[in-house]
Amino acid sequence: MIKKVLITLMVLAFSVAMFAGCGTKTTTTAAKVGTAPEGSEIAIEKATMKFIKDTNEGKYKLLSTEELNTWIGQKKDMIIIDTMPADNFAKGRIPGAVNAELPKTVMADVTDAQKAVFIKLLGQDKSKPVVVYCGFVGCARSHLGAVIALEQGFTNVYRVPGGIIAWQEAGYTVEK
Amino acid sequence: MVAILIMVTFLTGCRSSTDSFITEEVNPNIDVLGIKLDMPESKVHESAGSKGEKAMCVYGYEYEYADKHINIGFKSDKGTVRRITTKNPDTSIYGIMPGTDLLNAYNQIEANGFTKNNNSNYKFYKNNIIITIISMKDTLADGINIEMDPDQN
Repeated sequence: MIKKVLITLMVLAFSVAMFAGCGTKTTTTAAKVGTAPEGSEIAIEKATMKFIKDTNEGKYKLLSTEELNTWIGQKKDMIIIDTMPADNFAKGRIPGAVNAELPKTVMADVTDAQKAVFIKLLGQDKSKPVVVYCGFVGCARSHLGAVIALEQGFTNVYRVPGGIIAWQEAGYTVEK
Repeated sequence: MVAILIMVTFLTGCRSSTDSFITEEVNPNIDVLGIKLDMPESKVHESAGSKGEKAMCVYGYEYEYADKHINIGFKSDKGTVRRITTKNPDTSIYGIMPGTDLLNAYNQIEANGFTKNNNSNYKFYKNNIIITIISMKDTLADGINIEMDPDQN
């Protein structure tokens, strides 16, 4: 009798294990989809909304990471300004870039000293392309830089949305 | 086994000296709505009285508490405070309140053992802590930023 019960229990346990195994195999996790599957879509939307608002208000042009790399390859005569803090700039920048830190908030937060350094880097040739970048799409430093350049009368002002993070992700040369 | 124990003791010792500098010296000198370095995010929201607006940074993420004129940066791995920025005149860092005369602010920082950075008039270092003064017109310390050096923490 005991032997029968034991055999029944073993068969039951084996069946449960088998079904559980089948279950694991069939319940595969669906791959996440989205603009950047590893990222949060809501965060991307939020950054996009702000980016479009800034771009519309700023009235500057946009330049992609890939386009900037082409321009650098063509040795185009331009000024590239990195608006990240100096320690970030020292750790890695787009080749040929110069540094003028700007705040990541609003124009009212730009100090006189920051503005003076930025304007000095622009030089005198108002038709020369000015390319401004910062960290990534959600970063507003480059927006402020592009607006200051336009205010100073520069006519070819570009903002690179993806900044240094996109540049690194693209695998392009980083200057240190 | 003995080697491992020695190593663990050594590493713990290193960590403790950094931690004790923050807990015993730096944090008591931060008077920003009760927010301190290394504080967990939930406690910060509690101290600030609201959740603020989240944004990503190169070093982790931050919350802007616009109504309080403060911005708090967090480490992304631990979710604890790594930076406190204040423009709120009712707060202070090392006794410097936003709105203080710039020269007085410099004197106060240096009196507390911070050393000026060679490349910036506004940045001061002590161990793994950086203080940056935000000055709009070069006359007042309009804001104060204190942070843990991301390269050392």
